[in-house]
Amino acid sequence: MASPENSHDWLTEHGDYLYRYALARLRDPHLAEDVVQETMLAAMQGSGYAGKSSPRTWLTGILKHKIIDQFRRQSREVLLETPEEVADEAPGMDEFFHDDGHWSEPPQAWGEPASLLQQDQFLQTLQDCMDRLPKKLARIFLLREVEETDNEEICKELDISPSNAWVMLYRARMGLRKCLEMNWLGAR
Amino acid sequence: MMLNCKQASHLLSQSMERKLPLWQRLSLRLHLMLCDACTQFSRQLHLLRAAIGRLGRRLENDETLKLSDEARRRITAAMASRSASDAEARRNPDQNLTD
Repeated sequence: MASPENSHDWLTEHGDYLYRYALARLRDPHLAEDVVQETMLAAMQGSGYAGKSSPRTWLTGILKHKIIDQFRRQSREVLLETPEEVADEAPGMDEFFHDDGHWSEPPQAWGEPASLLQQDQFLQTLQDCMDRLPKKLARIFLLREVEETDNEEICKELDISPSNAWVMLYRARMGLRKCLEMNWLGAR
Repeated sequence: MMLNCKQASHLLSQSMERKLPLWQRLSLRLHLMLCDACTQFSRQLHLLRAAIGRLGRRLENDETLKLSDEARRRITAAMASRSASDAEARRNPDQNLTD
């Protein structure tokens, strides 16, 4: 079992790393602080650090579970509010398409991927667009894309059907690309 | 079956999640051959994936991002209070049962 002295050393040595790791996934400083606290408290309990991996790897493993718990709590709340909204085949997409199914504003060429990914301004605009997405879409999208959780896992963790997950990810991507075209391509 | 762009875009997004059934892959391929807008959309999806991954790694490696002193104090206090109550429980195991 971890002694309390050990745990405090872990906070000193790995606290900032754990915070950044959580921030990259939750994109919310307060939530990130909360899951670091939950991680440290969990690390003090149970069978503790067995020395099979580095303390950082072990702590990060605990943190991952706490992040998923956080996603699950938040997503349950918002999903319960709007169960029917995600049930249709492709709901809420009318702003992007004409009645005949054609794009109302056809997607534009964005340029060379390798060079775009080097551009701070492109990445910053993407970050701003993420912040503007509805929270539940942003969370499932981050869980999928940064945590690289596969679809089956997402459905299990968030207790939603695969088609719900596909629709939510679709809506997140549609929202992001539209936002990027308006705020980055449009501003270029 | 001929897909329209709305259907094609939904399938393209799904194809980022799972391997589509053969007939859907073929319908999509046919649609993409004829549709520049959906071809761009498909490129955008892959670029989004790459860019989101890069943003995440950038945050993760940004050493200027630190736990605030206030958060650190709060967490330290929560840990101290937890180990104090654990110690208390060890000293008074019977009392703890009725709490």
